[in-house]
Amino acid sequence: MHCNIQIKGHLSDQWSDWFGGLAIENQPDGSAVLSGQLPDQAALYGVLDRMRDLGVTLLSLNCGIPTPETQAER
Amino acid sequence: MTALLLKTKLYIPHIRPELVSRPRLIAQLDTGLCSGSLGEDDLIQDHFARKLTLVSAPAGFGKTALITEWVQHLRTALKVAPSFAWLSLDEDDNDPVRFFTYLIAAIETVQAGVGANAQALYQSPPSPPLKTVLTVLINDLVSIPVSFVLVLDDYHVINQAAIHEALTFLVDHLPPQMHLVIASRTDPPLPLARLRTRGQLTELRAADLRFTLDESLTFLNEAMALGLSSEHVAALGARTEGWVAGLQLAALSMRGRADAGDFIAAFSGSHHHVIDYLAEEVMAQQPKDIHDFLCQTAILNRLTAPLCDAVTGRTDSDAILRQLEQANLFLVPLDEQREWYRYHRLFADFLRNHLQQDMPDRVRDLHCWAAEWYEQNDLVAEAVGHTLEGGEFEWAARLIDQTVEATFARGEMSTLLHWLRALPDAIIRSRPRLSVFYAWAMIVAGELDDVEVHLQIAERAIPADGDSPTAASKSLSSQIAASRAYLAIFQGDVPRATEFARRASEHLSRDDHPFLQSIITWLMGFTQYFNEDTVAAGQLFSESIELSQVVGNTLIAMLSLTTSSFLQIMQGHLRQAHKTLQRGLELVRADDQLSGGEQDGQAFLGASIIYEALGDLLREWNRLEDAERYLVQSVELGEQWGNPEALADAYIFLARLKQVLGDPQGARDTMRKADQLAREKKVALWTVQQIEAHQARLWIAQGNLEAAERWAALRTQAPEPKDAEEKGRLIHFFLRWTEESTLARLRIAQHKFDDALGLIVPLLQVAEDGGWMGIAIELLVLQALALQGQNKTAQALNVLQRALSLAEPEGYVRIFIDEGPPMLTLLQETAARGIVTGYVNKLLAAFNVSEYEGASDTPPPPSDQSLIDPLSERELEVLQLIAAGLSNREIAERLVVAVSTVKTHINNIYRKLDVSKRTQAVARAREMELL
Repeated sequence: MHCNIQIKGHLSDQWSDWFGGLAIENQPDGSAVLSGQLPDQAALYGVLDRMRDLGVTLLSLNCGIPTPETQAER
Repeated sequence: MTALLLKTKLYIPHIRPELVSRPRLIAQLDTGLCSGSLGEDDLIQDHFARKLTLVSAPAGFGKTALITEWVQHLRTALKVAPSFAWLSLDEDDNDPVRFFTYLIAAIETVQAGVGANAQALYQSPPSPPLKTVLTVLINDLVSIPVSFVLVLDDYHVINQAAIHEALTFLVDHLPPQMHLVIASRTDPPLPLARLRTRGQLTELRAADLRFTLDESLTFLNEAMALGLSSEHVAALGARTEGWVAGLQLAALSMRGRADAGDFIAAFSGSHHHVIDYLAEEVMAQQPKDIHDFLCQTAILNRLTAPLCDAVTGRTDSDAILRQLEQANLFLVPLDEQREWYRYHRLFADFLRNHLQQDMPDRVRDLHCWAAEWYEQNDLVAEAVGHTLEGGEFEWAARLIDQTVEATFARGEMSTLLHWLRALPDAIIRSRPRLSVFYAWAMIVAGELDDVEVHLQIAERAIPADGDSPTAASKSLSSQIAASRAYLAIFQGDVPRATEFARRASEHLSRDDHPFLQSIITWLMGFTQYFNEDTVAAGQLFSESIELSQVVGNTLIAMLSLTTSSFLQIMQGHLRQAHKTLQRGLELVRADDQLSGGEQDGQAFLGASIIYEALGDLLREWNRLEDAERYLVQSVELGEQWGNPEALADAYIFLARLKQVLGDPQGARDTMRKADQLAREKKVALWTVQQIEAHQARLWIAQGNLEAAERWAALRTQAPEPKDAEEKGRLIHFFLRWTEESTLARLRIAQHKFDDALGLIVPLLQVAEDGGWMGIAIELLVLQALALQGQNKTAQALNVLQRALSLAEPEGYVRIFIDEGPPMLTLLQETAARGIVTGYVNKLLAAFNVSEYEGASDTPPPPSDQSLIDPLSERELEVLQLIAAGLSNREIAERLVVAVSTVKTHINNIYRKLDVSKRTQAVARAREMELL
């Protein structure tokens, strides 16, 4: 499923692997958006736990419900 | 975990000099202990103001440091400070058994030996339910003479519902002299709202823990000696938002810099996540060898010099670690001697990521070196973790194989399953021993679905050795058979269980570890019991009870206890049997108390078989009310759990009791249920035969000799045992005894005394030869009656006298008085001749008091009820207790049933009386003269 997580503060690219391989886009307003595919809810919670452990502040979280098209994509 | 590592988990950290004192927060923490402010002379009385202190904030807010400071503060500020116990948690502690083992170990630092009873429950697996352990522990905690505080640090690593539930239980039943402190990055799933509203909770959260400007000033300029201006401090404070870890890293970054101002400006101007930015800064400042050291050791959960040497290839790790500690580079000491350290989690995560980026191809090697060191130092469990992380599955499997029995013996099923699940199927398949333990772990953990699959995998792997299997494959076959037997018991399939028990015992060796031994020993006992070697059976049962001295998966213990008691009853040792059953009762009570009436299936079965055996024993002792309670309860539980063998016995015993209580209809109804059970469910043939024999016995007691005769005719046409061996089996003896003594009774009732004696005498011989004095007494009673029928009174009295002298020490009552008027006469004669007078008089008195049923039915007692659907006896009982003002819980306790059962009865009562409230029910019942 596609996930979109907005956090406070910028992160360098090198954290991408640590956070489930999500792509990191630092935003002008000082937040960062991590987005990409995660296999399931368990994986998502895993990423969130790691964010928690690193002291990241969560701003918003959006996960897409897989549609037939997106499922076919995977 | 070794003693060495254990102490690192229990170590109370010391104050770090560079950290700032936070008196305002200390004062808040104090309110958890004492309502007023804490003065020097304040003794904390034997109870604390509140139960729980929660320090909940993300990583790096200084939770541990704060609590540490608080401990120090209390120790210096008070003349008599509470004792402190500390437990630092990590992910591996998610195994419930492990968690509570450590918890107990922590509390034992306050009072040695306080957890001994609870620990004993873990001595041999399977492990008891957590609540059982906790209840035992709490009982012991209550007696600790000092007040004490238990700190659980890093509770957020715990994600097992079982642990959360158990901890909730602990909090709910917290002894008054105990206070619990939990430090966590997330709010733990405990009943916080409830505690909050009751004023039982002290909370410190991120907002509380952020550094104020003053605290930042103190930290940066005094502790870190940076000499910054207040504007600079304010800027840093704003940028880090008072986040302690951020400030620490900022301080580290600024050390040795000429111009702090530039740094702060750049830092403030960046949006970069604080830790990432600053940690990068700090790392960039490190000389190469330190930088590499940090990266390489990042994979370690815990650091000690020799381990670091192994992983980095250096020889001076000792010096480096000390250097890092001095430099405050997030290295936390775990003991007094500075042998063990760990990285502050924030920093560790950062380092791990850094490692992954910097030298990804070294990661596997690093795990291997760590695993090697742990293995060489006999810390196998830790080694397993690293091999799994390094993807070295063969190695992991070998290590797991080494430690699987010990892990199993400690009851750490979660850990075991976690490891095994991480291994690829192919690897498990190549190690049948692991498959078997996998199956066992699943059985014990109650996950029965995939067990057979793993057993088959294990079987396939046993080499077909033909005539001479190796010791290893014998042991394996034994274990597989034992698993199947155990599983069969759960499924109530006695014949299957017996067969596999036999196979298992063929290969059992003393080297197999205690849990398996306890199961197999019990299974063997079961087999021997059917094979007439009762001495061996008795010994094996005692052994298995010792081995399985646990609560919880009490099934084995209860089965052993019940079967032992049965043997003892057959041997005529009623008092011994009672003691044995009392032990079972204790186990049941311990379970029930804790689970609050929500027992799992095993507990149901265990309780029902203890109750039925006890009920029947009490019937013999003429304690009829108690007997009824137990038997009714046994039937209720048995019906819920549905194990047909146990339930059949319960019905038989209950029917017998009802007959004695003057409820012949009830007795008939109950036997009908037994009959139906035998038809509908899969029961062993001998169970069917038992039911039929007891049905016949009931007919005889109720004067329905034609029906009994029909049974007799059919019975004698039943197939004889196939061969001498089968004939010799004990089960055959027991069945034979039941059937033939019933037949003898029938003959006596039919006045065919010669026939009766023809049956009794040989049977009596076998009984006496085998030491079955319980059976012998009954046969002697029948013999006396038959002889009296032949008018051979002198002989009859001789025989009876023998029976009486055997029976007296064990308190037999009903075995005599159930025989009605003929026995009354004989006893009166015996008394007249001055034989065994005391006992005989007691029996005679019991005759007068009890309403024995003669040869025929008495009509049911006249009823004043004009209800279409009359209340049952039980419902009347409940109604009486309601009228007496008892609550549901009290009624449940009085009647030895579950609260839900009481509620069911009450609903039925309301329905039948057409009311909706207790008061209405009582009023209506009085109207109808039911009360």
